[in-house]
Amino acid sequence: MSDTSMRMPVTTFGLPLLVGGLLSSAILMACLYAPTEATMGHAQRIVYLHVPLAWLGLLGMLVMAICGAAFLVRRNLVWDHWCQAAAETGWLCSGLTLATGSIWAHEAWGTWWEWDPRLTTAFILWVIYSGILLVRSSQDDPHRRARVGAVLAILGALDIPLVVMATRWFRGLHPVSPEMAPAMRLTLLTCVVALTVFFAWLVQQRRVQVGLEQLARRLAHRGDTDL
Amino acid sequence: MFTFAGAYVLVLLALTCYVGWMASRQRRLTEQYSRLQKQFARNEESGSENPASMRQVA
Repeated sequence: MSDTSMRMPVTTFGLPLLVGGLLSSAILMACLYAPTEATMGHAQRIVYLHVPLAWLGLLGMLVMAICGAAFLVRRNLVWDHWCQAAAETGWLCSGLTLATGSIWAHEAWGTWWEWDPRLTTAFILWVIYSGILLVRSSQDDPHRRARVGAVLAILGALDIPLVVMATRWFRGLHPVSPEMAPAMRLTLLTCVVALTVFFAWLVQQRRVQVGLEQLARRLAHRGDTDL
Repeated sequence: MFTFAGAYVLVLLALTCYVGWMASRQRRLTEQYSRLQKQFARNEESGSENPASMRQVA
């Protein structure tokens, strides 16, 4: 394995600067450029994080399902590495969605949580993520882990339409499509783009790492080394 | 004001922790591979055969 492949992926030059620049711009826009909402005041700015994180939580599950299906067809472990990376990052985004949503709900509804259809299905999504990560970590054999992970991811993806359509199919507290000023829409779009690029970069970095970790584990278990 | 600031700090903290965790795993990986490469070199010097999988590391 050449030296270039051993360079720490998290410190690859250039791309982190772009990602950092995008994120900084998004946060500055959310804090300074976006106008203050009339009803909720500054607390409304949480939506510029909450919505992108929710989107990324769904995207992570979708990526897992696609990569899981690709593994089941091709039986190439690289697809499972993508699955693992998407699972971890998606789990984080999904959890942060619930956390930011709770903070916003406390300001808007006076309560940290309600068993509203959108909140409930989003919570189920996070539980599915947690379950998949736990089950994957319990499997020693990489191929078995990949198979189990793939099937669970494909089943878990069934929650995606439920989360998306919950506010339309069922009546609840969660806002459906609130009116937003043009500056607010632009800020929201910028935040979605910035966080999506960040998510893609994180998943790519973690995917490389998972592959290297698996190779190292395989070499160590051969008993040829004193690792 | 502090509500939304708290939410932003929470999110940034969580993402920073995840990136930091990845960086610490990478450091451990680099050390593991460094030991593997040394083992490979030792095997070569002593004349013992390196398994095919270890040649990937070198």
